[in-house]
Amino acid sequence: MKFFRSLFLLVGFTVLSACAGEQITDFSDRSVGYVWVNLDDARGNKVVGGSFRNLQSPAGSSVFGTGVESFGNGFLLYHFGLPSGPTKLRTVDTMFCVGLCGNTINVFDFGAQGGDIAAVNIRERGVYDFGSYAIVSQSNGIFRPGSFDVRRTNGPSKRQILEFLLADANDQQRPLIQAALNRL
Amino acid sequence: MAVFKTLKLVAVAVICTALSACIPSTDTVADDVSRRQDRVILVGSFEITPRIPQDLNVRRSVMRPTEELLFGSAQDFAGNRLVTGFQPFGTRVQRTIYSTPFAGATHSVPLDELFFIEVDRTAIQLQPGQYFLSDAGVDTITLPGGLVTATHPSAQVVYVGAVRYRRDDFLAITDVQVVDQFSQAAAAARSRFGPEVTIAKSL
Repeated sequence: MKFFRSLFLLVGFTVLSACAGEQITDFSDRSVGYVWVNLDDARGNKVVGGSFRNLQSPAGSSVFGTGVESFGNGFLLYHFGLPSGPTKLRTVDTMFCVGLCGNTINVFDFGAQGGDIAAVNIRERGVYDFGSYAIVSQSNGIFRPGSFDVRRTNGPSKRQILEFLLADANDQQRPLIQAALNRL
Repeated sequence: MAVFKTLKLVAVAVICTALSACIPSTDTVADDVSRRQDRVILVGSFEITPRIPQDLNVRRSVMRPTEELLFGSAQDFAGNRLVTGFQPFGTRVQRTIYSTPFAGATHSVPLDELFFIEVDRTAIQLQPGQYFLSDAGVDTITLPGGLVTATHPSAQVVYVGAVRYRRDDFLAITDVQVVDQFSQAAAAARSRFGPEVTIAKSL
């Protein structure tokens, strides 16, 4: 039994390792980006994942999974290693949780096109605010998939967010965030 | 048991036939001018400027050869191509809940190349198009349609211009122009259909 358990674990880890993206070790040309979302009118009450898309990176390395933190009356999605180039929020994944979570993941897909919402053209290394938004779910009946609208809203202050990021950042990105804080 | 087997085969055949109707036509090159008076060949081209770098494009075929045979290859729609439709002006695509977004007179047209598509001899309206950033069909860019091409009573070939979509850094279309490149298109049409072919311009 012990042998089979080890074998299953080995197979599991091998499969999962194939899912891992390329790890960023050199942050010297990488930027910090964050976006804040409110889910009061959206399906789900907890953000469980999200991603940014860089439109200058080749396919296969253009998607950057975000960190997620419950922040104020919403959620902060952030990444410490965004490359230069046009970058936008790609997805926000939510679930409905009250203690335990349901079995549905709602994926709010912001699409590949357009720079009006949660998009920044990163021209030099820095800390970039992609904005604060409220996601509003819309029902289209039983036979059509639901859609959603996005409204600009007031989120937590920039200082609050940068102080959180400063505490969470790695050593290479901390000076960058500290400099942004000092400018406030 | 034999009855169930036959029924199963019939059901599979019906489903495959129904699904095959969802596949858009990729035939964008008419080989010969139509002998029918009510048909005409549209000639033109599409371009997106600046061009979309092809390393942004994901092309990984996940279909087996038999699936490709039955349902068509997603490769036909990914890449530097525009999936759009040429619909008689004033008509509407009939859709059901089973329709794919491409239902109707739809073609997968390579960008930056001339297309030669046979249509009814009537005013034709260009439908909104889609550019696929992946062959999974999840990342798409929408291109506006609406351009109406007037009919011509007798020409065998009608030149409709080079439709130039200008985009910004975030792949949003900011401007659409129809550029007149008639001389090149006419030369290509004569080379394809013969020197006697009659060509009209309708921009």
